[in-house]
Amino acid sequence: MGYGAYVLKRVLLIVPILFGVSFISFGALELLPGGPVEAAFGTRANPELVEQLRQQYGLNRPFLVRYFDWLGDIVLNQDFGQTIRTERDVSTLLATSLPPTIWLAASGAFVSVVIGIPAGIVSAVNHYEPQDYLATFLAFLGLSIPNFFLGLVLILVFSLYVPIFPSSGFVSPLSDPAEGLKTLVLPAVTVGTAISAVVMRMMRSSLLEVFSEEYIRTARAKGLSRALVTNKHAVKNALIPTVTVVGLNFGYLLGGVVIVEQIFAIPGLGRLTLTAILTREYRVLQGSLLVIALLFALVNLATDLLYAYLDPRIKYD
Amino acid sequence: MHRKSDAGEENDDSRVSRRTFVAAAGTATATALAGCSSGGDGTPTPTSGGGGGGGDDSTPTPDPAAAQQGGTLVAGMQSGLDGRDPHLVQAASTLRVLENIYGKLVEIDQDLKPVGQLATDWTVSDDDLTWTFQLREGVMFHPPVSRELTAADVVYSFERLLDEETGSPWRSNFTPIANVSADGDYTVVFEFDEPYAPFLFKLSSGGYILPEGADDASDYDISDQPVGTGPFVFDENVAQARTNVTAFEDYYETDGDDNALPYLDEVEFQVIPEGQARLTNLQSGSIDWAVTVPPSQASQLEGNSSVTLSNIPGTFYDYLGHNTTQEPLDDVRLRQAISWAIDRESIVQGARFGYATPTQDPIPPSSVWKDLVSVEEPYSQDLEQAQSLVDESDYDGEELTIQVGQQYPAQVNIAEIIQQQLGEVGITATVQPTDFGTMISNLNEGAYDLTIVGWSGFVDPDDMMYLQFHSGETFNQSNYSNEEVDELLEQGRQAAGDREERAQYYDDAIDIISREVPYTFLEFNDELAAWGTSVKNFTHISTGTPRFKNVWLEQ
Repeated sequence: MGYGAYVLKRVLLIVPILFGVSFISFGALELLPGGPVEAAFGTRANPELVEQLRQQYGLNRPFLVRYFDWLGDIVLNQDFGQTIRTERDVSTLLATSLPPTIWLAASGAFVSVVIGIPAGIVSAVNHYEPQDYLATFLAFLGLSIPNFFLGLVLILVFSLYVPIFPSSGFVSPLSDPAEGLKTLVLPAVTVGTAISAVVMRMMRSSLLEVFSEEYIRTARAKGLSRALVTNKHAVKNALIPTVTVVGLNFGYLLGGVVIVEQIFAIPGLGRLTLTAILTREYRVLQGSLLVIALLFALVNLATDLLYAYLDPRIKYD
Repeated sequence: MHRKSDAGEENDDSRVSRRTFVAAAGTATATALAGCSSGGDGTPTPTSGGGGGGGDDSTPTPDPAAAQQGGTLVAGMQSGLDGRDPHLVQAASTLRVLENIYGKLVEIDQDLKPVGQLATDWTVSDDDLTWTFQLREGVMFHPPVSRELTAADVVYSFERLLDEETGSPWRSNFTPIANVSADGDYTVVFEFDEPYAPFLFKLSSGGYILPEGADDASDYDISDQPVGTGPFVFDENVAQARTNVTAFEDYYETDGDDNALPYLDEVEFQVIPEGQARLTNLQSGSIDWAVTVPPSQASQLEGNSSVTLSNIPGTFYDYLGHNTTQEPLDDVRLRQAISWAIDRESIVQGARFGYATPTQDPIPPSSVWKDLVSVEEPYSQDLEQAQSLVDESDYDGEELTIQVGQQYPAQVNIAEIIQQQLGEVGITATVQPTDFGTMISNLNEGAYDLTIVGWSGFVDPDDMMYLQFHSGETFNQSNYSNEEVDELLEQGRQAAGDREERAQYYDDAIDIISREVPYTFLEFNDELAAWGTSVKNFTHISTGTPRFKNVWLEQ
């Protein structure tokens, strides 16, 4: 199978995945106790009000009718429906929540790569030497510090004591690059630090594995310098599993880092999803789950395609 | 009148939580416009504000001459706008914004007393069945309506609230109204079939006045663009991020020196969900004012010279609810034993970091009713008494579950403290943190033993007691039923006369309730807010609703 056919197959595979996700997320919400009307009006939701609003919003129709109705609107009109509580367009909500999350995910992944890959290389090259232990120690420290704690510490230090960066909010770097990047620094470091440890460990172990292969020994035997062998021959091969990890991390970040979005008041997908769960805002929740699934699938696809660049030997079948 | 979980930290942390949807009403019920003006002659006079109950509220005595015009106040909110139609929303955060945009006939002052806002005066007929309100003249609606408010708008608004099609959660406040009509441009008449004593308070709770014809307007969409009569005009909302309102040029009130109100040009309500982040923003000066200060973090602000922390007794209380119709808690001796076993002070300290006031009844400490209604024989921790009641009762050691909203750590803490205290008198309890939605349906179905819940928003004793303790009422999840209490609560609802007379009914009812223990009342949470030193003339009110019309910024 050629590369083109492989790409096509992978793209088509996304369709049943999304179909499954949409069905499960739509169905699972049926099982949640308490409906959107009850959530919106709490104890004021007397049975008549609930019934009336359920009718108004078509919540009393059969499950499959509602499901296909909803899915049809999304597929045909890109219309994710209306929220119950605020009667707002879910599509608009999703569209405004997506960019902050993508920026956060991308900058977080960037930070993790910038920290993780060099640290992994240093670690592997200086295997079992102090540099390795130090890098490993720092990596585990980063991994062990909870996001919410690191976020708050960063806010305290860099917004309060040494006020360099704003402590909350989101400004799109597209509309105001300077301010936008400034607001991204602390949240990006917060999410990036934690996942950089994973990147670092993956880079380290795959590099060590590559180091033990024969072609590296051959290269060294030819008298090439260690730096040259590492940079030219080893790193690129060692990157393949690392790219998978970065890709998965990125996909995970796109799901919205709820805690980080919450602490830094970033109006992203994670917060939207959390709020939707707490308020039983079904349409928003279903929409955001679908979007998250789509993003994850796309990131996975991109990751797989990136392999081809890194390792032309990979066969697509 | 809403149940919500938590006024404190969790509330803060729970983002959506009951506070957002249910609790909210608290805010609405007791709208807090304390700063200024009263229903009288229509000339508002700024009054000095020191927050209903003390605390270190440093609200300065307003000095209009010193007030500076202009500036943008940035307010840190816990959650974003949840809707824009004031007849449809109840979320506390949302009402904090909308209260600055919309007007009502009557509002609640800092003693939780009703005072006129759009109404200057009102009379009640001798048979207590007709209420006549005089409207303030010269009140303008925001653009694009931009015309004077008249009685027709008031009639329209109440018909809208009462229309089932509207689906307003406030509707039940107004269903006793038999008819509402205009008598000329500035007089509104409400007629009732039975006396409805809490009416004034109900008006302050959800009775927002919209322009007539708002639902059919072609030049604006009322569900999208609020059009009120308040000091601020809705400008812009960015989902999950912020809401901006700007000063209304034609606002009707002025300060004592005839300066136009509001002083501010703009208020930006910024959404910063995390409590610590809100406080850091406040300390670094990126916001000027913060709502819902988490009690666990409040102490860091004490002694901070750049930030004023204000804590006053709030209107939100926690209680331990008993399922009175299910074994073993159908035994009143066991319920009393539980009340004797509990030490409220340790709950105040352990779960609320000291920012709370123990209580034996549902009357907020800052309310004018507090002195009139009280429990004759209050409980205090008495383990011997508790033990002997346990021994006397039919309780044989079975395990009781305490259901509590899992999103509300402080309430979970309360449950744990109570669990331990009950253990000391041989009552075994387990704490069962439960998703709030599930918990509410459990409570409604009577599928629980004990529960920790909070209520808020009560202003009138009818609000605090009728729906909770009258047989068969909506919120009577303890399934409590006592004919004498029913009768007293009905009398209280009908006695539109003077406060002392009504209070007597509630005073009697609370004594019976306290003896029969459908609830064990625990504590009122403090209402905590904080603002920077540049914020002047802010009056902190126990309901937590900020009114920014008298506030000015030192520049």
